[in-house]
Amino acid sequence: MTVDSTGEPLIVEGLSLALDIGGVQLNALRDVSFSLRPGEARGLVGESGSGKSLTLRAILGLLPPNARITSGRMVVAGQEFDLTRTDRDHRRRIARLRGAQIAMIFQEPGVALNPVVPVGRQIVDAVARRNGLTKRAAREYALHLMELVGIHDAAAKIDAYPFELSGGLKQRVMIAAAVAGEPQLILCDEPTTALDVTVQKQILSLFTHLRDELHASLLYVTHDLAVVAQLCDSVTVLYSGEVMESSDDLRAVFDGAQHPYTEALLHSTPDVDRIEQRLYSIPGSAASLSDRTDGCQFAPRCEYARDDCRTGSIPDTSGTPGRVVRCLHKVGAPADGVPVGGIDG
Amino acid sequence: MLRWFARRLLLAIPVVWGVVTISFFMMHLAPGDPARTALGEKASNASVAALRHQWGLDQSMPLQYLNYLKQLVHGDLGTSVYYHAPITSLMAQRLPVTIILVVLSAILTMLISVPLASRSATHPNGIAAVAVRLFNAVVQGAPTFFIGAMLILFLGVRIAIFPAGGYPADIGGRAWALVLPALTIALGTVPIMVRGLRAAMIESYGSEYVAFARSKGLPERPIRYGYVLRNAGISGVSILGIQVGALASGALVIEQVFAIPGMGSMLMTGILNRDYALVQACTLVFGLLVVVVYLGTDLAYARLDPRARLS
Ligand SMILES: Nc1ncnc2c1ncn2[C@@H]1O[C@H](COP(=O)(O)OP(=O)(O)O)[C@@H](O)[C@H]1O
Ligand code: SF4
Ligand SMILES: [Mg+2]
Repeated sequence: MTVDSTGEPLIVEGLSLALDIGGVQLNALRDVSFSLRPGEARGLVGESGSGKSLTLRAILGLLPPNARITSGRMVVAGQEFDLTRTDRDHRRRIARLRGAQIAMIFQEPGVALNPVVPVGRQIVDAVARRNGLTKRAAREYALHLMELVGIHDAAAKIDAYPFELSGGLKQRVMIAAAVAGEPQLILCDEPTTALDVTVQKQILSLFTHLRDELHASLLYVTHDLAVVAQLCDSVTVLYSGEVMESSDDLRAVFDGAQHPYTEALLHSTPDVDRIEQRLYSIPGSAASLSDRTDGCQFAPRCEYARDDCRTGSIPDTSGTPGRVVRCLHKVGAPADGVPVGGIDG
Repeated sequence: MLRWFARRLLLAIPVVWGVVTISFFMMHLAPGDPARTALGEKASNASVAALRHQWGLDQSMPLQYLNYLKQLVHGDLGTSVYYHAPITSLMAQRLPVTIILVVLSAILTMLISVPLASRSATHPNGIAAVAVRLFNAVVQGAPTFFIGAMLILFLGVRIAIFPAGGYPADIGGRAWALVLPALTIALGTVPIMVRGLRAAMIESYGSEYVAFARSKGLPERPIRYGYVLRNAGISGVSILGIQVGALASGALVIEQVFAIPGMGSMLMTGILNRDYALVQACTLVFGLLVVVVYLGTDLAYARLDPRARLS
């Protein structure tokens, strides 16, 4: 696969999305932007409800019927998409990306597989149809993929139904199905959250292994910074549907978080080398969709917050290329100094 | 699998026994005397008593019940006093007609329901969905025999593509004659089936496994057949299994409307003429049919749903 010749596997720019909840339009995502270089793994981090899954589903055109993209464009391997479009032609173009250019691994392996179809067939059904594989070739390929994702007795498992497999095995099946079409980009939606701690570790090392093997880029959604530390090159931090901090260089964030929310996240992750689920100990809780306000979404929980944080939209104050910090009073900035980059109104 | 089947058959025995017992006592405790009915109002009391003795009706009820059970165990359904014929041979003529009618109506139910449910699941405001709503309103407001009469009027008399009633001698004519009554019966079940199937399909379309299938790049057509219908079909089979009782009782009524010589008309004749043996035999056969259908439903269920195969 020559990813370099086709440019960036994914650029998302200014993605905003509204949900219709009981006839009321609520903003679930606001001006979300990020991009991935070939072979890059980017962590998309945020608490539950921050809009991570919606972001991934917007990319693949798999949004729930009550969601509407109000702005945003996307570039996938040189192809431009106006994400606000809903016409047939646009839907066809997005559908053509699925599996072939971009694949997705879902959070709950227990419900994301068809309960009445053997797993082997689910791994290759889409790719066999696309590439016109014979039954026999498809089965061979399924066996190969199952071995690739670390299912040792693939021949014994290929005809099993999902309910006959453990959660970890089901997740491996889903990963096998996702890589079957040799996509350049794999979207991972908290692929280990539903699993036991030991199985989580195995699946994480499988991702590390697959990254090298397949040269695919990863957009890895998690609420766990420790996972990001192990797997990713870059990170985007989401809060209440908005990007708080983003960096092409992961270390820069881990060594010096500039956004108070990122700092709080890091503080609540005691040991970034330990991969484990834990609850954040940031005071307060994330705002629900209907509580989103003007100004900085994090203000109600921010210890640096001042009056000017509660009005207007918060600009990027990072001043460094490849870095975004949406905060008026960054961590480490002089207490009453003018924010780097300057703001006006 | 075989053991499962054997166990299910054993479980059916008490059900069938219950049906036999209830039908026996319901008939014998109901007012009316078969001998009197057979001989007419003008017959002498002596001749009626003689006939009662000949048929064993002068024995005590428990004794009659035991004799009846003994006879059944030997595979003998008794003799119809109305038709003057062994009931087994009457059954051999009538039962296939009713079974074909019920099977045909089940097939028609599915042929009508699946496309309608499927279309109205994917296009909730489309023509199919509106048609389903209208149709439900009409069918639910009208009893089956009325719909049958309407169908006779339009398809049987006005356009006259189907016979309006009766049961010709040739096979082709018979098959054709069953279409309209089967359609009438099916129309009573279609609304229930469409509603159940559509709900199951909508749920399936919104499921994570369909979203994942789409994310793999699987086109909508295989998703519809291999994922949505395949899963919704499991609900469809159980709905059909439950509705077979309704289909069978629909057949009994509709046979009268269309003058089809099946079990329904025979049962009616038996009841009106106090033909105990005939009525009991009909009830028994219906009981057996329902048991067989439930077994069939479970088998189909196990074929469709791998999770059901374990138990
Ligand atoms: N179909 C939907 N209808 C209503 N609310 C939704 C729907 N999908 C997501 N939401 C809401 O949008 C917010 C973001 O959801 P999601 O992207 O799933 O968050 P995350 O994946 O980060 O946990 C949450 O508050 C969630 O409750
Ligand atoms: S903008 Fe204000 S409220 Fe928001 S994170 Fe920065 S300091 Fe806190
Ligand atoms: Mg999520």
